[in-house]
Amino acid sequence: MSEAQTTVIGRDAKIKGEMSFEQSARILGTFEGKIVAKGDVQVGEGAVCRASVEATTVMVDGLIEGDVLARERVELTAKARVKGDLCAAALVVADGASFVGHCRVGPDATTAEHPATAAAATNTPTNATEVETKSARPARPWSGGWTAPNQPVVVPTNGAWPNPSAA
Amino acid sequence: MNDTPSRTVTCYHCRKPVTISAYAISATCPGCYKGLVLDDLVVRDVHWAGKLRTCGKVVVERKGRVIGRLIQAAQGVEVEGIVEAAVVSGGAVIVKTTARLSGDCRAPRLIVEPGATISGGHFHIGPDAPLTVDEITARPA
Ligand SMILES: [Zn+2]
Repeated sequence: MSEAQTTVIGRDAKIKGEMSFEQSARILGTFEGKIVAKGDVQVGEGAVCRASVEATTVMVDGLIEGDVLARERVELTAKARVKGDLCAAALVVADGASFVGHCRVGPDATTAEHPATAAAATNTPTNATEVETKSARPARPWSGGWTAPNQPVVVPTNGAWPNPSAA
Repeated sequence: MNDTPSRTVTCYHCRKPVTISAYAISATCPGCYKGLVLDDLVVRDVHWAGKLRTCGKVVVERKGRVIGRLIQAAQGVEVEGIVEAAVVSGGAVIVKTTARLSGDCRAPRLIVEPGATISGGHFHIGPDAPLTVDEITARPA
């Protein structure tokens, strides 16, 4: 983000409405409404952003209540609090960040019109099954309490884990 | 003298803490008498299941695929393959480059590597994420 081209909404500012930026923006105050930026948007620490945000990269140090759409990347730092749906080509979440909402991430996430159809497009699986415990311990009774109605479960419900050496 | 090393896990059936020997490979919850899986689970192939639950970790390898209702792991979930299930994790959920995750997710931490695909589930990430599964399991897979 080139500092010279960044619009800063200061700590004291309280703004309601719709803002659009030709380049980047940094929000340090309180904002309600909608933000559209061609560049990056940074929501600084202590900032309160009750707005939908659309930008190339969105960096969050503060609070956003609203949907976030990033054409490239969303970065949530340790102090970030996001409540709303998130849609981005890539997502970086730091330890300590909190996020509640629907999440769509991937190279096609920002272009796909209907998330439901994109999810349904995953092809149907075969029925081969293998679950192994990581350790080299022998198979042992399984009593984890599976409940899988309407699903062709191949892992035994009350028997042993599949043991490749015994098979 | 009682200096057998022990550790405490949380029963994923009734949420009660259960103290077990550090060397235990399986346990029964004294609260609800249900068995607990303590191992890490590694999924290498396609796996259909209602629920995949453990007090350890769940690792879905590159060719692994989990289709089901729920993955619940107390110590974290690592996905390199495909997961079509709700994920409830007590540790970090790591979504690697090759991974595809579709389903709800609750975890204290989320790590998404570039290239990973997450499609639209409801996420609750953060130290305050509820690690209960009632709402998630009430929904159809
Ligand atoms: Zn229990």
